[in-house]
Amino acid sequence: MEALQVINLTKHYENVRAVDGISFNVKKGKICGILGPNGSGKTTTIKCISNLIIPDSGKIRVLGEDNKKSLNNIAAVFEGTRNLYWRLTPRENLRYFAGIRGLGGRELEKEINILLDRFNLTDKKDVVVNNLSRGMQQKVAIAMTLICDTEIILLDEPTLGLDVQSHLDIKNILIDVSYELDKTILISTHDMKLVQDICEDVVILSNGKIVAKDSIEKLFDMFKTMTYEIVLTECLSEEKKSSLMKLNRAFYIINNGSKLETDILNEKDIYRIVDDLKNLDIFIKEIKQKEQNFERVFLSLTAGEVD
Amino acid sequence: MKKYYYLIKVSFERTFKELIRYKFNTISNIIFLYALFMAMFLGLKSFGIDFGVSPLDMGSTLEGFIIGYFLWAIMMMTYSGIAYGITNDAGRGTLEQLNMSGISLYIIVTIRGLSDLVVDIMVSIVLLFIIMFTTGHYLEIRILSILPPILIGIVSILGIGLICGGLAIIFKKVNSLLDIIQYFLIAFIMVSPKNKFVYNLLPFRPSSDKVMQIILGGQTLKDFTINEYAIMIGNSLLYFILGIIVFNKSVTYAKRKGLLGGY
Repeated sequence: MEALQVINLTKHYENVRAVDGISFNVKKGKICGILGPNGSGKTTTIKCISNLIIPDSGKIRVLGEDNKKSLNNIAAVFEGTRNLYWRLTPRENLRYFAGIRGLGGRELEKEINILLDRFNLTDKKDVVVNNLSRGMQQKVAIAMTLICDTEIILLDEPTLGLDVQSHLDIKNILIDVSYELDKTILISTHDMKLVQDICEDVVILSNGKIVAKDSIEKLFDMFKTMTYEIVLTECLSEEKKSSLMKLNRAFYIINNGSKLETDILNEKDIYRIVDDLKNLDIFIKEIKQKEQNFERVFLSLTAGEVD
Repeated sequence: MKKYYYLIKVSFERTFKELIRYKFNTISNIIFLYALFMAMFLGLKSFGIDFGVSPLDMGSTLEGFIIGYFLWAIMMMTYSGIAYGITNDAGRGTLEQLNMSGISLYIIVTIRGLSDLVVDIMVSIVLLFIIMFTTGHYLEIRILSILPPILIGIVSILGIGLICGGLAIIFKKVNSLLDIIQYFLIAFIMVSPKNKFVYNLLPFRPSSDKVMQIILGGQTLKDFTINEYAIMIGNSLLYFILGIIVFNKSVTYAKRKGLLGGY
């Protein structure tokens, strides 16, 4: 069953076409990622679904109903440290945001306790949000979407600016929320690792258009290449870098020129690469095959449009 | 109906919690209003009060001035609460959350404005007693008599707050305009146009008149005619409805232009 349907959505700002006739669906209980370079239309799409931006044309359906009539089925957390009242505690914030949706009573208080416990915020329930860490604030914001008891949760850059532990916590929370609570989650992000780890489906936008939409697995299959990392004996000089760029092969120069990465379709190609490098007097210290990386799939799809 | 009950409940809870947690702001507001009053009061006293102004206007009497200031303080706090409340929410991103609640945004901000109003009236009454104590000019304050005209009249100020809040959503940096309007509110209490129609059209003016008549003229609620009540209610409804229309149009415009919350 489709929880969310975006049909031919278009939005212009003055002469800029932010979103250009995009269509995609998200199945109930699934996590879908929206990826794209800056300015590709991710946030505009999320805000159109949330009814914070009125599109020029197109339709958005939530559980088959127009999104404007089903706001009680959409909750969202937007980018950054916004979304919450900083001088209220997590408990008071949850109570307030449930209250403005017309929810309250003893059952709600029980739900708040369960959520605070689930998010390991029980011991912080009476601390004002202003005094919580960035990771905890983000947990409270996500808890806020859950207390509203909506079918769909929209998250705009949920892991932006988080440390490693908070990133991991948020990732686990989202998996937990999707599987255990059967919520449909749409995530707009630059975080490829998050998408690779938790999303079943992905929509990739570029210049307001969809350049790919499919399951993560199928997108990996579509770009089935082997990525090799080549560690060099010394950093590449500018002259060697430019010679390298003249070869008929894409190299990603990393670590200030001490490493190269390249994608190959055929294993025999690695011997040709070794020969090419030898001819340029570039000496190899080590060669290793890398795991397939969604970032590379994304870069291939958006073809250098990443900031 | 129950959903509005919860909305009102959490709005009051938030107002009181923030009043306590932003205590520096709360106390400095009271001190500012008190200091401003004392400066004006002492100035008025030292220059004498022979300006030939009608007793029901700013007051050729110091009592009239005190009550005029009290009404302005309520108006100013109500207006600020709603207009700055919207700009603050837009600035911190919570306006987007309010807009997604499924309850119309103008209802949420109006109910919040009303909860702020209750606090404002309480603060204003405290301020009034401090002023009376300091100046030695004691007024016979019949709270239950002055509350109905204040509550009716303040609805017009909620409307003006909604208009300014709507403009703030679109134009963002309108703090200067919001500040100026606070002081324009003084005119609504002081100015007495000869033309009765214009007089009755000024926001809050019919109600502030009645409060003056109760406190200074010794009148009671029973002394006012149905017509006078109708003018008070009509005046408030006019500005409140205008406020809702402008606010809703502004929100729709902001949504079309992608301006909602984009500070």
